[in-house]
Amino acid sequence: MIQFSHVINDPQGLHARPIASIAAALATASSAVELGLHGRTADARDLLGMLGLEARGGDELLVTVEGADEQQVAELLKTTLP
Amino acid sequence: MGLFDMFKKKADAAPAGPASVTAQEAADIVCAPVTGRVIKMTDVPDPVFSGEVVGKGCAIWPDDETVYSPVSGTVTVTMGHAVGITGDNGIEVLVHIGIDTVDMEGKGFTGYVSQGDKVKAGQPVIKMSKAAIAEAGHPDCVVCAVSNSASFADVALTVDAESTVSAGASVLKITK
Repeated sequence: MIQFSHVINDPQGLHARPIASIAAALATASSAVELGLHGRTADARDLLGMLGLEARGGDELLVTVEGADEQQVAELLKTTLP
Repeated sequence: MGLFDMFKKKADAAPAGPASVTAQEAADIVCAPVTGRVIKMTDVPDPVFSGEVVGKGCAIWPDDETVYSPVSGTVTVTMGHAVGITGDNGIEVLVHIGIDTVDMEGKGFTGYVSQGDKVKAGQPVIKMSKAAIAEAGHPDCVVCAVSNSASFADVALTVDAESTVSAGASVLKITK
């Protein structure tokens, strides 16, 4: 399991465009990915769940990746997360 | 309760939204969130939606400014210009008003629901100002995406593309 924190750069936070990019990036990955914020978590393949976190610019997400391709997925997420 | 309390209670009440519309709701149906001209998701002028990355569905070029819940369920997302509803029938729908309207930061949109609210199909959820969206330079098409499309065998239009529908009419049929 890999865990890292990511501060959201996009002032508009996790809105439709970035969550679509995240879900698309994970389409061919096998690892489970969870985003946590303010004690709540969302599966990174669950679009409404991610939007429901109401993450704004400057918020710090706790990202958890677990699975066979977790190394590649973690690297991919670091470039995909807004 | 004194006279003053009565006035106080009135002042605290949420602003009354528009009336609900009658929805053609069913276990496998998504209703039109707004009155207007239906287009295929693949014809939405934005690759995130036309590529069906957010989900399969459709969009409607609105003739009206009130947007209604397309399914009965629980509000899971409220963003000013968008609302997400997890249907009691298992269908998750994201209703996204306009393209790139996130940069309006909620201005020009009046929300009638909050995260966690139970809604009925045909209940008003957001009112948009078409003038404000035009002024911001954005298309105002209302995207109705089944965000958990991958859970279903198919999501198909129940009406012809380019036809006009009334809010609450059936527009999408889900095959489980």
